[in-house]
Amino acid sequence: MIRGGGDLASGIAARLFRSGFKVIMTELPKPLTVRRTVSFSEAIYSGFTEVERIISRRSSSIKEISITQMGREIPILVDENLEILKSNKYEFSVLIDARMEKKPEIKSLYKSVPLLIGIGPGFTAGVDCSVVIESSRGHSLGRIYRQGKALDDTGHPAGDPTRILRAPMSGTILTEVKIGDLLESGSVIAKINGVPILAPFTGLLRGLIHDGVTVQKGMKIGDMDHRSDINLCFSISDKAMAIGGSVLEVILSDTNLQPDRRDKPKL
Amino acid sequence: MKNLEFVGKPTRRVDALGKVTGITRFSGDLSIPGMLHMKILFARRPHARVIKVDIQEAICVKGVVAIYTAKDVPVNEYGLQKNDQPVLCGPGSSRVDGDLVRFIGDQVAAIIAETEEIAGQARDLIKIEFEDLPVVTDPVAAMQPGSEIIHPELGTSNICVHDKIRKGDIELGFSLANTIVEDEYQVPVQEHAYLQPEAGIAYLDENGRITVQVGGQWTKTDQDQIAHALNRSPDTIRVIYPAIGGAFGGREDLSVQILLALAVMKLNKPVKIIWTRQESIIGHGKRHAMIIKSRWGANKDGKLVAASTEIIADAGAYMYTSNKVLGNSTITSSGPYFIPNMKTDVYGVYTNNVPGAAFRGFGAPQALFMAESQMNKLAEKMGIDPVEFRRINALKDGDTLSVGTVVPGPVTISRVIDEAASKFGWFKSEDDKPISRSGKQEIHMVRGKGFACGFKNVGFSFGYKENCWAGIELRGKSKIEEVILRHGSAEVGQGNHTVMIQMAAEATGVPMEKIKLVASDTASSNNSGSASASRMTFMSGNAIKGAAALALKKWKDEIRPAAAEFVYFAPETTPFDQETGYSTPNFAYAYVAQAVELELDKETGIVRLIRVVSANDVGKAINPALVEGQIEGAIVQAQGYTILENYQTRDGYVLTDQLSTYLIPTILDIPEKIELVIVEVPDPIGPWGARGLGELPFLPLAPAITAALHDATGVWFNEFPLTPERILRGLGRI
Repeated sequence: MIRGGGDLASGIAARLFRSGFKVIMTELPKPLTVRRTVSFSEAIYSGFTEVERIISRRSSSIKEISITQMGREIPILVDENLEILKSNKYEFSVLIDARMEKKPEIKSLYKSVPLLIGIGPGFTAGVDCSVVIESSRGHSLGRIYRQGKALDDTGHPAGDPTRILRAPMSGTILTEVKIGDLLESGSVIAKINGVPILAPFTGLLRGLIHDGVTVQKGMKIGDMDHRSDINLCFSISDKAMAIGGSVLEVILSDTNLQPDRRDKPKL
Repeated sequence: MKNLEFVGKPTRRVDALGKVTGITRFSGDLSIPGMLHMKILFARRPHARVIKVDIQEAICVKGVVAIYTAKDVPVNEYGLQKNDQPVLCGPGSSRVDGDLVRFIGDQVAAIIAETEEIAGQARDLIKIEFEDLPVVTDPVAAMQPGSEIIHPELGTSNICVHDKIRKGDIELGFSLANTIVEDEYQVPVQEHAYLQPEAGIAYLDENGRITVQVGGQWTKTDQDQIAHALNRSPDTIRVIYPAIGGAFGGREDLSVQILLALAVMKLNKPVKIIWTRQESIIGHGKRHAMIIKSRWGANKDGKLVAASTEIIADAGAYMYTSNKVLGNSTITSSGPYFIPNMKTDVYGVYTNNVPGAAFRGFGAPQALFMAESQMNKLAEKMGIDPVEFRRINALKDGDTLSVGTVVPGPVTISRVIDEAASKFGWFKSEDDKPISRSGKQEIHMVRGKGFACGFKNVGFSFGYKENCWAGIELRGKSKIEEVILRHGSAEVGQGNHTVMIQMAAEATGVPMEKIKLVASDTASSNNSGSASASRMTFMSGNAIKGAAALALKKWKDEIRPAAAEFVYFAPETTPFDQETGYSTPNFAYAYVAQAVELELDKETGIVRLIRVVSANDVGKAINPALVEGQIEGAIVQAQGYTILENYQTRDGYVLTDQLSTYLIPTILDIPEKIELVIVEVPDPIGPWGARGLGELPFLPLAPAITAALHDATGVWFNEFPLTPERILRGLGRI
């Protein structure tokens, strides 16, 4: 079970899926993902979506989930509060919280599943999750913490801070361009209540929140890239791949999940 | 990998000398002193009940030895996939409704006489009393409730096959499509037209086994079917393949074998038969004709989002291999593309036509004609280059197929697309002036170019436990003097015995001239499977490698002779889920792309192929010269299918039952230039990386030709063969 359907969650899902795991993802009714071309959350809006030739499909019943899984696709459900955990139809071995909330959860699901992996800041291993994985770019990206926390959220991502587009006010966003467009500096990307959001520099639009979503002031609504390679928009990023690889390591090295891998006591 | 000594070399065929000098004996060349001759009386009625067979006059002809009818066949039924065909149709049959004639090639009596002429005279004196039944020749009508039932003994419907794929949400898929192409296609019957008609000889061997020497494709299933019909144990039947003059899938199903064996069983004398060309055309299966309705959609980024397809195939009177052929149509109905939402229904329907049979490509050419035409039309409608459009949608490594499992890799469809486009010069600016072959500009001569691709699985699959046997014996004292290679495979003209000897040489390290192949005899070889489904190099190579490794180990242990047998089992596959199609259908695929340039004379409607470029991933060309031969042969055969071969029937009767009316390509018809790109991306489980090849280059030619014709004229042809008449009608000239 992966909580969240954004670009990092999707990178993790892709790596697990390709390794043969059955993956189910959950999202909000209106996902706030910005890198929608590499995120399975987009299926919530469109019914299905494809990232690197893996399809995720919005599924709203047990039957739809099983048909989707049978077709070797990833079911994604609107299930903000993880009601599915209460279903006796599934027994989840691993829960990965990849929502990037960046703050501690009020009521942790730790101990309700055998292995809870938290991605990024906000989690504390052994307190509200089993393991934390570093999500901050740099030397420690992908590092696995079996104690303690990931690096604190600085609020300032690596690189040019202007590449992150934020909502200047609350309201409904109407987008005017699409991900993958090369934008001139100053061109209009979207409008909130008629107020335009302009491209901060000439470059590639890599992420943009879904048209018509209600946003809060300061919320991340998109991002740009100085590089102009359009493929950056359509393939899973190095960061998501790295974190996904770490999740895989955590699962494969977990002795509780893999009885046959457990070290045998020496006689 | 160490340097290969024998594999990968364009070695001369081991059967070349015999075949070019005429020494080699094919089925029809065999004779034994004192042998008798057989003729078969065909029903020559498309649908009737045989009330009475009167042989009184015929049996009195001097020189007639015996006449057999339905009542003489111990178990009067046979079939490769289903025992639904009587050996002889008539009263007294051991099988329910064994007196029903279901197509003109159903057999009613076998006449054995001292000479072929006498047998023929006697045959013409047999009187059959028929009760004619309504004739059903249109598969669409045959599907309807209330239609005349071809096999009343099997149930109340003529639908004998229904495969489905249900992937995703087809309506949602189309709702996201910016461009939709919807069309209907009709693909014709094709006659195998192998050079050597059905023929052979049967006799008792030194151990009293009924021995049948008739060219086929799978000795073991021939043996089993003969044994079943004669109600004998298979080990009392021996099947030997002499040299075979082409098969192309058509010899997978039996023709003369059971009746030859029956005659020998009853008479204890050798018996021979040779079918005429007409008998060959009416009496044995053909490529399935299909009607294909299709709706495909792509989004604004040029990605396919939905494909809905309905295929109705004319199975003809009997099952033959229709279930398997149509399984392959089902899987190839997506083309080699990634399509998130699919709905496919494939029906096989019994009719009173000549049965649909296996034929090079095995259901893929028909489905791919639709898929590739849809791709070309979508590309045109969206204003994208058709090659570019294919690149966007081509399957990639790790992709999930429409049946919910990962396509076995490496997936090289993009590679062959690029290789074909580059060799052809697809993206070069073109000189599209109408220049005729004479070099003069003539306004009625137009040229066009077209592109298409295809893929084909290797081997039998869909849950069949695919396997292949080989035996290797190393003889000598201190060093290996001779290698005996035993194998069951049929050399149908493709050169596989040469390839097998090359592979045995490589596997044992012994030169080819010291390897003696003992093949295609059920008395000395086990089950090596069929020479079909592009499987023999792949499967036999793995079996030979296994047997050689075991034999070499024994040799090292100083066992003399060092003999070993090995059965190679391919990775397991699973059949379609009945409702969704979900399955692991195949364990290996090969890929092809072709570009065609043609010239059309708009006055006469005659199409000429100027250039065909074919890029084929064969994994590893065990013998590059034979690979070239296979590719060129397949292209010529596909050209005949697409342009010339015009199989005509009326009310179940075949009108084109001679090669004078059913035209196949001759040396003057074939493309002026065939250019090959042999791509070698090894298959991880293929012997030395080899994939399958035999069927591959046949697959994309028809849609590439119709695309080129569209390029030249602006008209899409959804039916072929592209006879002058059809072209002139398409152009609105007649």
